[in-house]
Parts: sequence; C-alpha cells; structure tokens
Amino acid sequence: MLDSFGNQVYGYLQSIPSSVLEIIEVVGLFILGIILFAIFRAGWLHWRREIFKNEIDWMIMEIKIPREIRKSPKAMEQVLASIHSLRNSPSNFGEFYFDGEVTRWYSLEMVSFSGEAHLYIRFYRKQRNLVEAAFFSYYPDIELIETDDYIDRMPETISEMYSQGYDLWGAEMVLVKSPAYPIKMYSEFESTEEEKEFDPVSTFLEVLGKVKKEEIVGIQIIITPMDNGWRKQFEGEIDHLKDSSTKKSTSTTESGEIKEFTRSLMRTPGETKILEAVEDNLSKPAFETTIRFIYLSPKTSFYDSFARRGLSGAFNQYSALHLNSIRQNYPTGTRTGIFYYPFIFPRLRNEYRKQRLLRNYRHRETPPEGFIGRFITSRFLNWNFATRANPMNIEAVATLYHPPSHFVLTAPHIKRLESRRGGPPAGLAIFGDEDNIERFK
Amino acid sequence: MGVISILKIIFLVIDSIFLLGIGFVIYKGYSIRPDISPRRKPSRRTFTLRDEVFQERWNSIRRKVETGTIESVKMAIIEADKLADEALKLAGFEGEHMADRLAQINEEELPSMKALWRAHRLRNDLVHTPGYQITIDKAKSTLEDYEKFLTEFGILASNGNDK
Repeated sequence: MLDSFGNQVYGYLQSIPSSVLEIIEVVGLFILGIILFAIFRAGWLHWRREIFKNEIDWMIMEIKIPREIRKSPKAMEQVLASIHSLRNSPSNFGEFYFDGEVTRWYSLEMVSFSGEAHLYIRFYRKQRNLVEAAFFSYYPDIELIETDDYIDRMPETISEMYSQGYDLWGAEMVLVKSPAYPIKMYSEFESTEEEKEFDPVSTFLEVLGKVKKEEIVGIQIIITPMDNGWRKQFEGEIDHLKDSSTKKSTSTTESGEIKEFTRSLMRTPGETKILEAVEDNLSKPAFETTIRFIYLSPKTSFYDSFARRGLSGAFNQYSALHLNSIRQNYPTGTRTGIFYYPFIFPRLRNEYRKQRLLRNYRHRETPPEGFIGRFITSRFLNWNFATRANPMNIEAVATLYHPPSHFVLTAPHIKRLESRRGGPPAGLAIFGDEDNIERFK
Repeated sequence: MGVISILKIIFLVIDSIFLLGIGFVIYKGYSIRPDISPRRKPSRRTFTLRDEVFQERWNSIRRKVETGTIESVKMAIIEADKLADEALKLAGFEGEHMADRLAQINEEELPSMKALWRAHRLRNDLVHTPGYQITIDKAKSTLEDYEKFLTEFGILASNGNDK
C-alpha cells in the first residue's frame, strides 16, 4: 500500500522535468535564506540592544513633597507630557543596527522601608536638568534630591536574600483588556465638592504605611515614551466600536423562539460612552508601561497575602469593568503550585521566578522585544514570554503615580518638607562668577 | 541551466553565512543574558566577621605604629576607629554616629566596651580639637584598647593568652 503510493509519487516526480525541480530547489533556498535572515536580524538586534541598555548611565532622585500640594494629578500629567518629549529613537542605520539604540526609559517608584514611604524617579543622567525643569514648572514646591540607589541596600540574589533571613513576593501587573480601553482616570476621582474628592494614590500610601519593621515594599512603574503614532494600531478597534450597525442582538419572542435582529444605527448611551473614552484615551501621548512590585520581608513576619492581595488590590481602584482594569500578570508572580500549569517542579520554578523578578526589579528591566530576545533570555524552567509592557497614556500614568495631594494629609508615613520654597528675586546682586552660582540654577 | 546552478550555489553560500551569523548572535546573546539561576552567588562580596580582610587591615595599622612618628600614629588611631565602627555596623548595630552604635551595647555584655569608649573619645579629641597633642605612649595604649575590643568582638584572632 505504502510502497505503491511511494512509487506513484516517485513516478510523478520523474515525470517533472529536472529543470523545474531545480527551480523549486532554488526558490526553496531563497525562502530559507529570508527566514534565516529574519532570525539573524532579531538575534543581532537583541545583542546590540542589550549592550546599549547596559551602558546607559542612570541617576535616581527622591521626590520630596511639601506639606501640602494643592494640585490635581493634572499637573503630573503635564510633567509626564514634558518627559515624553525627551524621547530618543534611532534615526539612522548605524544607530539602529550597530549602537542598538532603544528609547531610554524612566522609572517611577514608590518604596516603603519599614513603613516610611518614599517617591523616586530614575532617569538618564544627562537629562537631569530637563527632568527637574519638567517637575519644577508644575510643582514649584517639591524638591528633587539626588540619592544613592536604594536597590544597593537590598540583596542582589535570592541566595543572599535567604542568608539575610528574608523572603520575597512579587509580580508584574498588566491591563486586562486591549490598551485602547482606558483605566479609571484621576478625573473620575475629582469633584468640585470637597467631600466627593479623592486621591487614588492615598490607597498606595496607606498600604505602604502599613509595612512592618524591616520590611521593604517597592512599586515601580517603568515608562518608555512611545511614538505618537501609537494609536494607529488600535484604529481597527475604534472602527469596530463605531460600527454599531453590525451588532446583532437576540430577543425571545412570546412564543419562545429566539429571534436575531440587527439593531438600528443608534448606539446605547453606554456604548457611546465607551467609544468616547477610548477615543479620549488614544488622543494623548503614551508610554509603554511595565508595573512591577516586590515585597521583601524577614521570614518571621512574611505574609504573602499582604502583597498578593493588599498591593494588587490597591490597583483594583482603577478598574472600570466596562473599560479596562489592571490585574496581576500571573506567570511572572512568585506563586507556583503543583496544581497550576505546568504541574512540575513548583518549588524550583518558584525560585527561578523570584530570582528573575528580583533581578528585573533591580535593573528596572523592560521586557525584551521580539521572540528571539525572549527566547535567549529564557531558562528551561523559566520562560521569559509572559512579561509584557502595556501602552498607557500620560493621563493613566499620572493617575497611577503622582505626588499625593492635600487629601492624603492623614498619612504620617511620608516625609514632607516643612517649609515653602520660593526663588530669590531676579537680578539680585551676586558676588561671584557664573560657575559659583551654577549649582543654584 | 548554468544560471540556475550558479544561483543555487550563491543561495547556499548566503544561507550558510546567515546560519553562522545566527550561531554567532545567539552565542553573544547567551553570554550577556541575565543569570537568574537560584544558586547564583552575588557579585559583590559580603564580609563576615572574622574575615581575613580585617586582620590584614589591623596588621597595616600595626605597621604604622611601628614607624613611630607622631603623624603615622595619629593616622593609625583614626583607622583603628574606622575599623571598629565597621565591625559594629556589620554586626547590625544601627545609628547615625558611632556613639549611637556604642550606646546600644551594654558594658556587662562586653567588658572591653569601657576601653573602646575611652579610645573613641580620644580619637574624637584628636580629630575635632585643633592643636590636640598626643604622646606616643598614650597612642599605643589607645591602640591596645581598640585591639582589646576587636579581639573580644571576634574580629581579630586572640593571641592565645586566654586559652
């Protein structure tokens, strides 16, 4: 049976002129070449980009806030808009392929040491003046102080961590639905009446304030400015939302049979609102956002629900079920079990996850681009395909991270500046050269 | 016919170049990929008490004293104080100044505390009081105080006198 089939195929191949076979061969080699080139290009880019990323000179500044900020998160949105304009991108062949230039990212962080909350921002060292200018123009009262990276005080590897008697829990957060849908923005927490006005950041500060002695909780929001054409990839979704005529609805008639009918061109008020929200969301510049948190605690007081439920619960306040919400990216979380996929080596896989998360947190790592990059950074028991950055616009990032406004006055857990600052009058007589006053600028 | 076989050879060559290239970039990528193995040792060294580094530093302090000039003896005292402070920090005592750390240790727990306080006060005088004069003998006894503390604290190996 098989033989006769084989003979048939052989006979069929015999009947094809050999020149045709050779042409097929050549075309096959050509297609193989294209595939191999694509893999080579991706691998090359990954290599060059990793080198570029590792050579960026970062600096970290602590954001010290005054006793009272009478500014809505709108101010932070404007700060982020200024920061977004500092975006760099490769502009020619050499920069793209040889330097491996990638857009430099920023890290916005809320960290609590034993219950004392701190706000940090990490950025490219050379942009210091620009970042300072962006902050001071909207928040004249805050202070930015260069500090040593607190990360250096934390264990570097989990073996070091265990030897210090600590344990770790952490995860990354992602959007539930397509990034075209916004989360609940700060404007919905605002109102003209004071009793209806809230600050979403207060939940985080409260949770951070509840951190026990010797524990560390860190939340980092890594933002990479995106090209302003980011909305284009979601145009299909807008069209889908606009196109209400194709929506089919079903209804049951009195006799019990199900009737399908095409709805009229009218949208329901809810659908109109969604469309409006999505279009609003896409109308602002966006950052690729990776949210990551870790909870480091001495083994004696370690309670993983604090992080797993408390911290990820704090993100729950941004959810609008008809739009979007933020949830844990479970495959990056340090929770494995024999009853969860893929059912083998739960403990060892957990160790790998902890180590990867700790390392990613320390390095403020952005997810590698492309399949090849993810493949190369994978381990047999810890594949690196789950981590993901979501586009979020400046308004959403400002909602997640802004200096707490005066509604959060109750929180004693955050150090505030006790005096107001103001600049000296212009044109003051100064005894000294330009160099002497350089640092006061 | 000839064109096709030439094309075939060209494509074969190009394909194998790409294949080699893939091998190269994957190798490069692997060599710089993050090490996330759970058994990984930290890149920086964590010092433990009784580390040889401390013994080394103490020996260099001793050598300074042996030169006998007043300047080098002063330096030796300052360095010995630094060493003692680092030992306290390593042991987990916290505080802004060394005095804050010292205050946390009870004299009954560590008999050499008295000596250390005495030595630390002298060191402070040395550093902060302008024109403070010190004799070689006084300096040597101060260093002995530091040594007493460091030995008792478990950083320097004891000389075997108490065995």
